[in-house]
Amino acid sequence: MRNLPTTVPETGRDTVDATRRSLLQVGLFGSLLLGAAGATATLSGCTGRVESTAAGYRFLRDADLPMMRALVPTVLGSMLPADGAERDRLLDDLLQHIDLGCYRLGHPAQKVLAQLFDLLNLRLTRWPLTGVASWEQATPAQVQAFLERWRTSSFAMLNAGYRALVKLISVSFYGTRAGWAAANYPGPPAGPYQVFNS
Amino acid sequence: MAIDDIYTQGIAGGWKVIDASSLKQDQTYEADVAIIGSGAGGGTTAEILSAAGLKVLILEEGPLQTAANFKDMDDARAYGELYQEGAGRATSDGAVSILQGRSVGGTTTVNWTSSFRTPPPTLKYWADTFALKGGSEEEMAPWFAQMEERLGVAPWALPPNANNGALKRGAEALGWAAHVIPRNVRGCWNLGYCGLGCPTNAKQSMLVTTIPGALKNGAQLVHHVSVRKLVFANGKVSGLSAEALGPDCLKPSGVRIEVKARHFVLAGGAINNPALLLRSAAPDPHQRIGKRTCIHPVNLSLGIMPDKVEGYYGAPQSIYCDEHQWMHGAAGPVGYKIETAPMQPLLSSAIFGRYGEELKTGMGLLPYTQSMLSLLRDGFDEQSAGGEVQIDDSGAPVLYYNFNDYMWDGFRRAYLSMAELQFAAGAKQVMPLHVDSKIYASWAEAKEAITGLPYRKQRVPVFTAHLMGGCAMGEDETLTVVNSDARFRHADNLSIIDGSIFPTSIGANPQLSIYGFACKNATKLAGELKA
Repeated sequence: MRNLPTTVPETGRDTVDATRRSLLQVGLFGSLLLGAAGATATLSGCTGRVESTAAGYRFLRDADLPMMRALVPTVLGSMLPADGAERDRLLDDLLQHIDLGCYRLGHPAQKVLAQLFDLLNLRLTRWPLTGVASWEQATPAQVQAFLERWRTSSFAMLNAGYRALVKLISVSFYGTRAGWAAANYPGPPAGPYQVFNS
Repeated sequence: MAIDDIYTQGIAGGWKVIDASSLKQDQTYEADVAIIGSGAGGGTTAEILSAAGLKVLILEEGPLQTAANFKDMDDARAYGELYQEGAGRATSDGAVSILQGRSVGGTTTVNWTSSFRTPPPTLKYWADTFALKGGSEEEMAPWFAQMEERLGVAPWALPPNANNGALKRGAEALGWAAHVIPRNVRGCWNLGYCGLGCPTNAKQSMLVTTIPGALKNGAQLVHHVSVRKLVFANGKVSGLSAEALGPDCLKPSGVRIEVKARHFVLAGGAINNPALLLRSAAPDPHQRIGKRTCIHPVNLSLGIMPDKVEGYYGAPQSIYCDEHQWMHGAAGPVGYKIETAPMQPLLSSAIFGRYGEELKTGMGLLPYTQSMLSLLRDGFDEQSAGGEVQIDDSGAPVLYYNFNDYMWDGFRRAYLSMAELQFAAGAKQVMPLHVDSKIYASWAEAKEAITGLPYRKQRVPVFTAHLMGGCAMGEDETLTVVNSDARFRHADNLSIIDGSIFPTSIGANPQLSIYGFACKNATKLAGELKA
């Protein structure tokens, strides 16, 4: 079982309102997660998810892959080729980039990301938090509704989840040649590039 | 024509450089001085101590990468391999993204070359508030001059690129003061890829200046090594233990490294130094380690220009605007410095923060996009206490940083200033980078919208590339971790020489502040160790 989130110490001087709001958020979010995770462990009769990563990956687990395969096309929209081998190749490439990006994070960030992915994958938290019953069968409209709900939510932790997912996927894409083309970026200056690399 | 990477020849000529990932057996190294970290503080210190005849050992967690690696000018490679946590480092709750270097040369290998002396109001504030001695404008001037000479610091002599030109044009139209940024470059090709490692060795980073200088003086450099613990005993540091990392610089290889030295210097930066001290249970009677971490919180604004800007080409930062920096003095409502950001696509998408058609359309306009950023000057007012570095159960650093209404007011004013500048520079549209912002077609529309945006964590995307504090210097021992000479208060043979000793933020890009104080403190240390 992955570790549950801990409350964030307040080191700054938030206003009273902001402090109350964040305490409320941690309280609601924490108890929801505790309840769901506890129930899952009880119902499934095991102590948690298998910790091993998916074959060919260093951080992502089997359950994370369908989720990412649903999220990437929604974040990238029509920049992803519509169909066929080219789309599959780019998707596989992006999943590898996303995986490497997660793998390079330090222990604290990896822990938080793992919690986020658990929330999105555990049935008891996925439906109430995302409105998606199954990532394999989610329609683009459902995935977009989920992202929009997390973007506009008044819960800072859901906003944080939205920002993390969008950033992971977009930086992975814009680091590729397909991303350069989508940004109308011609690449490094051709003359110097040739000088350095000839 | 391959660019000389400096190290191939140097190592062939006898430089002592060890890639710890290649070690098969546990090692013990001995030196007069062990320096942990090879960035602005560690590099400067290594050259000065080795020139004084001391046997210096430099330990660097990141890889040795050189112009031979940087020649591809590829953002994915650079952000993944040259930055802390693959450029994915963030504060505890993910609200602030942190760009901090992690390779030989530290952040100097990937910074954007802006080189400012510590502003006089900042130096005065440190003397008044933290009882810092020897850090006045007059006392510091020769140290800054020495490092400016060493690193070729001079105002950028070529015309600014279009991204910076817009900042100049906007400021002139509004009657705001804008100036040319001094840069640490020699023979710069004006390419614009400083953040990915300089492919021509023009940037006078530690990688191509003081580290080679120290190696020529007989210093030893070990990279791919992560220092886990200092051993404190009998009022001294008796040694340190470290782990060699594997070739990818992420996981330990299993090889252990011990270091014995007369003196130890911490130069791992404002996040990693406090974490190392906390892991080592360093004496800290006033609980000051890791406190008052200042970060120059950054927000950004994009302007869509009628003509191509191509902000990915040309010196990334050459113009700055300090109109709003000191208008209230050192304390009072938070001041901010306005600069620009280079616009290679990966970094641009990281700051853009949208998805779907909005992402496609916005990023598709990249060639026409002008970027501005504001560095908020945190740590000066009693309402700005900075953040705090702690360690998690694995000993890894976690930075906690919160914002209050004092800081949100600064972000709001900074968005307003940047939008006003961009429209004054001729922008057709402006988009403040905020989760709830839209694209605005006039200054009046933008002004009303910015005033009404929600100011909360996770709605204002915040960035930092400047990590300062956590081991503050000064003579007031209830507020500081090191004295005015950067000596750790509670061990005889430990110094901290880098940006972590600044008691507030700087109010300017910090590299030259680090060089100047490192030059002063390392010179004094060399004298004491030789005596």
